[in-house]
Amino acid sequence: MDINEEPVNLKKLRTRLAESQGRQYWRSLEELADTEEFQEFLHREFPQQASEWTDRVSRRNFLKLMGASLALAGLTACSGQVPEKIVPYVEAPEEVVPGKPLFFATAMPLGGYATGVLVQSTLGRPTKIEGNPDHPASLGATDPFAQASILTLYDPDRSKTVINAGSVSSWEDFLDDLQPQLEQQRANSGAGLRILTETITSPTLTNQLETLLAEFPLATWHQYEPINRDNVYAGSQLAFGEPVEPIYRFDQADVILSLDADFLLTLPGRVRYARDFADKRRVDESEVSNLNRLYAIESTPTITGASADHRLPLKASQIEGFARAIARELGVAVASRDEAALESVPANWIAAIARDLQAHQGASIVITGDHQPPIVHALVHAINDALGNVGQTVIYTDPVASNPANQTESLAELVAAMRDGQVELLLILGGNPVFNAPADLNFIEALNQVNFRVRLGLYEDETSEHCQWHIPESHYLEAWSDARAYDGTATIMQPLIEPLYDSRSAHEMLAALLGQADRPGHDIVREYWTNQNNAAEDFDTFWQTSLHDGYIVDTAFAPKTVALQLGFDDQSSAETVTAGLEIIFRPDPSIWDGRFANSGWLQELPKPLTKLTWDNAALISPITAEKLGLANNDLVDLDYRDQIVKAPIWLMPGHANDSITVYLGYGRTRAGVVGTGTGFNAYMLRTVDTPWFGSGLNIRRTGKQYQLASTQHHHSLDGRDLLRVGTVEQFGADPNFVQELDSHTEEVSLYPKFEYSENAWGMAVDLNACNGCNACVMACQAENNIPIVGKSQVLNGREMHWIRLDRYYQGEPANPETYHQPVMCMHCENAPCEVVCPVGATLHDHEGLNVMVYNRCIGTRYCSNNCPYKVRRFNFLQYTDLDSESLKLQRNPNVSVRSRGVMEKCTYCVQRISAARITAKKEGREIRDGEVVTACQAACPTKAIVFGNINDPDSQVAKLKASPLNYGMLTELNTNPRTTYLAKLRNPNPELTEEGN
Amino acid sequence: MQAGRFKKSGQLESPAPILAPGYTYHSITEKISTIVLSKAAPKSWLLGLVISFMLLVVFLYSVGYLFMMGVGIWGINIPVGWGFAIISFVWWIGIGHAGTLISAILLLFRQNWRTSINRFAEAMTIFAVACAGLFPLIHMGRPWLAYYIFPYPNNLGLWPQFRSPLVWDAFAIGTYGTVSFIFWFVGLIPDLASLRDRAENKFVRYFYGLLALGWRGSAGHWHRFDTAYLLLAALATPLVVSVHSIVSFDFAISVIPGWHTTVFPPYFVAGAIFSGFAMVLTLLIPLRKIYKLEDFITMRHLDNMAKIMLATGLIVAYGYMTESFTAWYSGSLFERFWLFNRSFGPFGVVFWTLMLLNVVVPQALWSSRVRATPLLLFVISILINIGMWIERFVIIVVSLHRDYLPSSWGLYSGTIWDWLTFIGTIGLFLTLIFLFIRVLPMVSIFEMRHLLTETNNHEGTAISEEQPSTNVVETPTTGVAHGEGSLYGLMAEFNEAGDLLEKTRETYQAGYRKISAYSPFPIEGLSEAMGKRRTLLPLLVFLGGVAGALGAFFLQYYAAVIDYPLNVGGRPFNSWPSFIIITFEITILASAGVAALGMLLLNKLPMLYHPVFNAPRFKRASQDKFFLCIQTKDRKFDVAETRQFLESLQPTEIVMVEK
Repeated sequence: MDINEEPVNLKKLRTRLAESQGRQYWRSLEELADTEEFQEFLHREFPQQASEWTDRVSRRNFLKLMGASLALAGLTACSGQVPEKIVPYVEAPEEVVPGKPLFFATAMPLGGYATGVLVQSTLGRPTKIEGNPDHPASLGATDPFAQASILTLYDPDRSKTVINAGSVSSWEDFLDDLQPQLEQQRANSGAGLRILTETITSPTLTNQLETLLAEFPLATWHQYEPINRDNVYAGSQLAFGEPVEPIYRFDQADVILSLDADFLLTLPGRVRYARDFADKRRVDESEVSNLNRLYAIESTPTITGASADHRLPLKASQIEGFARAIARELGVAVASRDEAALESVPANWIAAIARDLQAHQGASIVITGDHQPPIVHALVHAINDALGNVGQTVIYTDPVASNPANQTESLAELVAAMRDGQVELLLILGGNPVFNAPADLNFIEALNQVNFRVRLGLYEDETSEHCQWHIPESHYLEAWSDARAYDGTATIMQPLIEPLYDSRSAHEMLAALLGQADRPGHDIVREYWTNQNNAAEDFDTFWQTSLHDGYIVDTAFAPKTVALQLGFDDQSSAETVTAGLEIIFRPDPSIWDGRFANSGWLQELPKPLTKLTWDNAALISPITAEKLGLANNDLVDLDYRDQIVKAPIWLMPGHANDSITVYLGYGRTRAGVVGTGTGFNAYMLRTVDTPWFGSGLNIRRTGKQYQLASTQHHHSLDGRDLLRVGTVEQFGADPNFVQELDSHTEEVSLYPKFEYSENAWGMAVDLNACNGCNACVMACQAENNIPIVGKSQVLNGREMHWIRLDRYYQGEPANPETYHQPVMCMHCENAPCEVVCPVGATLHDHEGLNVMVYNRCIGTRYCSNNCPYKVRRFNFLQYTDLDSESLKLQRNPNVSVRSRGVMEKCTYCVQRISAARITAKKEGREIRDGEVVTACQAACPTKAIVFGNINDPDSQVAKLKASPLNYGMLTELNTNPRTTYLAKLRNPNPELTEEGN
Repeated sequence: MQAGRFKKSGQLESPAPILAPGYTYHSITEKISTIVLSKAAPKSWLLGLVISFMLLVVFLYSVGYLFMMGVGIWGINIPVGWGFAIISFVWWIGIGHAGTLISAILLLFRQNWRTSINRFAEAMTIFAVACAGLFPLIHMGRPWLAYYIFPYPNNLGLWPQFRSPLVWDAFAIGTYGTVSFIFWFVGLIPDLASLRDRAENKFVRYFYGLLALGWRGSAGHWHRFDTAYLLLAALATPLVVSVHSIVSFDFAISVIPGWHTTVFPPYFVAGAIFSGFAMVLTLLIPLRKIYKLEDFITMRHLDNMAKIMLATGLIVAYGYMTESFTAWYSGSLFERFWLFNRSFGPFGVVFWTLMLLNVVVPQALWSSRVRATPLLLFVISILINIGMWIERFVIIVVSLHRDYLPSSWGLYSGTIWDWLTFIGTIGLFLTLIFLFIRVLPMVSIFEMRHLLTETNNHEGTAISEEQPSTNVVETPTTGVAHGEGSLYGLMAEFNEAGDLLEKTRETYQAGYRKISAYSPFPIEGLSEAMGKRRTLLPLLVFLGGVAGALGAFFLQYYAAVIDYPLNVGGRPFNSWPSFIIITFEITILASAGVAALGMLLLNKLPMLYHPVFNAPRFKRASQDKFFLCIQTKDRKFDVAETRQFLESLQPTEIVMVEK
């Protein structure tokens, strides 16, 4: 550990200095060298950082969270003007006004699919992501991934320099090294050149790849992404003879049958789907006849299942049997298979569902998940066809992916080629195949056969480790690019900031292969669109408009007419093995395929149903767990196809019996200080032929325990009327049934009421709309500079989220009803917290906000004890990372950063209220309804959260509060909460409820 | 030895004495002061101090680490925001109840037996309150800003939030600590004078001399002392009741099931006395053994304390019943759940342990045989101490961990730092106790002397060890040479309190006015015998109290209504019911301050030099002898004539006192 032992490598130092942009200060040669030893030395120099936590496990976490970096690399953000012109979303002011944020439209790609976003830029640095109201996949809302992507931009662990064989190098050196390799490939027409990408929807990148393939005719472009749409394209191939992209119009559907599809959280277009779905469940003007009805048949419980009116757990392999039964019931000529699967389906279900679908021809949707095999997709296409839904609620277009080929096969081909020594130059653009390739491909071994391996990646990760060259990739907020949304709508992605580090975009990387090294991404993208813009229209106008709007008009794919090819059913379904348990692989609801593993926000985001943080688990139904003698936190060996992985057990009510779900993406070994070592790697069990589920899993107890950190330990309402639910029928019979639940509607007080003569801020949360997707939690964290605390602190109940999604179960654990309830500060008019604060650190302002005065808080925690809603959060330790320079750039300058010993809680985004007040004052008017939008409200895909002035009877929030469904939590305590809820209405099929389902 | 027991005949057996027979003023003084003044301390004391001090170091270390890291090193979380710190705070405050109860309430009830234990119990109170007071400070997230809780003028115009029970706490505990200290110190002054006069080492003499403030034990001193002491007792009495009531408001004012209970104030007070007496017993039983104080702290004391424990224990048990009944009878879902969860939830075992220790175990005290066995009493008292700590755990943790929203329910357990901090305060407490018994008399000497005159073994003839040599008149060697100018007065010495009273009366009747009488304990009627009027002290104390009350209420009103009105929880600006607590506390604090200061000032203390100290045998005035001095200032004074008059009073000795 002695830092003097290793002689300073002067050559390396010069390289570092040469490549650094901007002014770089260094204190010693050791520091400049940035060796591991020196980092260690720095940690020891600041022992207060090195030993914050007391126990060993959490201390490691501390190092992960806080000691991430002292950001020795000089930030290059200040190194001059952005050379390309980017276009703000709103009217551009003459110049940047300090303190006044600007918004720029761009898009966040995930799995290739773009979600349109508006990025808030504060003095030149992107600070917050909002949805783009004009973008079809967003409609102004976002998902948690988009919200959290801002943190990835500033992640101190992002790769900062070009690495060659583990040592710091430079782009120039890389080009020098690449040149002879390229010459060689050019000589043999690229026979040894392979390019591996993730799903590509970017027109520019596709064009570049095509150009490249034209130049190197024998080269091959492979695509692999662990969460792909292979089955969707294969299913439509089966049904229609060509791959198509199904797009659903939930706003037109009255009856929906979901066959293991989590369309609210994991399908491309999920944000739009969630909005459309919620719009059909709102109770407007006491009108309930138009409420849709959702049947969810699913293996792994999802928030889609939780939103369903009827939910049935069924093993993933049995979904096909169910689909066949429905199809046959609807008169589609398909064979009946796997009748045994239907034994667990209540007798009249299939008939009743079929009748309901039949009754809503052209206004129903049958949908299946991306992980169901092609035959199920084909069956669903046939059913939708039979119901006349095609062209109405189900629309087919050309595939959004530029190359809809089967990705698993594509990767297998690449591996075979590599193993045969055919590959000489491999370029891996993004992705992380070393980590997430199917285990049986043995990707690493094959990869090592390749002579020259180049990797472009955001992080120096598992794949980079096995490549000679690692080139830092620019974050989507740093680079020019383009991408298509779920419906094909293209967006030109403009950067919000010059790359923080010496990074390149995929476009620039490919340009280098095309002999156009150092061609700016801006020029590449612009050139492509210049060529596309054949219309007479002035290109500059087109460019400006497209950038401004965040999408290119009329780029959504046109509906496509396809003909169902009968006879697809002749191909038998693949799965026949039934022995043992079934294993199901799913993308993680927080860290997706593992790419977000190093995002502390997403790691600490409680997963929608399990409320687990920082880990994945083997999810198992309570009945199966009982059968196997397993309990929560039991560490088991998952033995599947000769691969063994240790995983902790988590009981998941409503899970299909005899199957186990594992979320992918965990168990990273080189994710960064936050993500490395969290959870177990489920990719180790995934094989080429069972990418999503398969049977034959064995479970063995190890006798050990592994502590999982869940943020909610009690799942029942315990007879309390905190969350109120009724049925449409009940509501129809007595619209005031929710009000009648309240025994204490009368407000009794010895004291006179305070008058709020101006604005009186209040919030209404529509439980009918809320599906528990977590976007609000993430948005709040990003907006309000909320720190993460680490697993050991979560275990101790110290998570800091200002808004939490309470999840309650009702009914049998085998298949319970699941409810979500967002709970943030209620801003009680008679706030119990305020009365007990000894120093007046929490008070009411003149508009009825319950405000926190951080500077005044001495941290007695009395307010939290006395809060019946337990929405206050306390900085038990110094949670906020005050040392990492790059993280400072992300913080919202309008929100105080809290230090240890201070209580905090939801403020109703008081900074946004202030901003609106200032604007209104300058314009000499009142604040308009809808002018103040809280962060959670803005992010909510379903518009479940409505905020506004309750003094104004015309405001949206006042109207909601006038609804007969409106109720307050714990009103009998006379707290008079400003946040109220709209009771949830379920719309069960009378045919099925009579049977007691 | 069995106290208060009926024989078969039904005749009441006479109770054990509160002071063993055979003591004189001198032997009492000697026995108690020797513990302090002897050069060598018992080995057990040294061992005890070393162990306690090591625990104190543990405390300092834990608090140091706490300040460095933050309260997150403890096991607290959301929903259980208060843990060991507040549990221990309430526990210590409870322990701090016995002292003032014994000193003040038993004094008012004229319970003689309190005399030999009150000093120790008071000291214990002060140290327990000191330990208690540390916790609210260190449990804060930002303890360096603790002063925000006090009203002080600042340029932000900000005031404490006077509706908060935590502010009430700060005032209540501050007042309680201060008044207890005043009461204790005032009671110590005559004994400090005894130690001053008995000390052989010069520095020790200076030390006690400074602390004694020049106490001479004159009739006037004693008169004002008695008045002040009685007033302080009267003022401290409501404090005993109020402090734990106010601590209970920390919980009762809240909305949390299990906290929001009206039975809390009386039940907390009873619990406090219960635990306070348990702690007194825990400490006194070994001490009386080590220091051989069985004659002073007799079985009668132990018996009485055991009975009080039994009585308060029953009140506490009744409190448990009432809170459970109320929870059930309320019909409230949350209250009923709390009741169920307390008994059968994750902390059910803790609750039943509490029931065992606090309700079942004390029932053994019905047996007089148990009460007469110090070892058993010692064990029971320790069990009760533990039980009371657990009670606070149940109240705080069990109520908080599952309140309204099941989604937010959690668990709680203390970390190593919680334990070290708590155990560390025991170290602090014991260190202070050990230092106290080495430095200050743990039994009130003057009150024991007084007791000697009142108990059956005095019979008016507490015999001085020296044989009275009647009328031995010592002629001052330098008398005439100094002349009357350097003479302060003539002083006669007596052996008996009764003599002094009688002779003083005679002197006054003989027309002498500038006379003073000195005694080692207060003698009733002595001041009146010299024609002294009633003291002004009660009036001053009343005025002090009125000023305190008005000032405190106005301060709160000004802060909350005039200077910086804020909407706090929808309460009116003038939330006068909330302001009553602090008004009450400041009333007591001001009155007590005036009583103590007034006593000293009216007695013209501190006055470290006084001519009477020149009298060679005047040291005995603080021990066992009685002196009468006629000053030269007296109009009737004439050296020869006055000496003659004094001789006629048959003193043991007459001296001329130089200025």
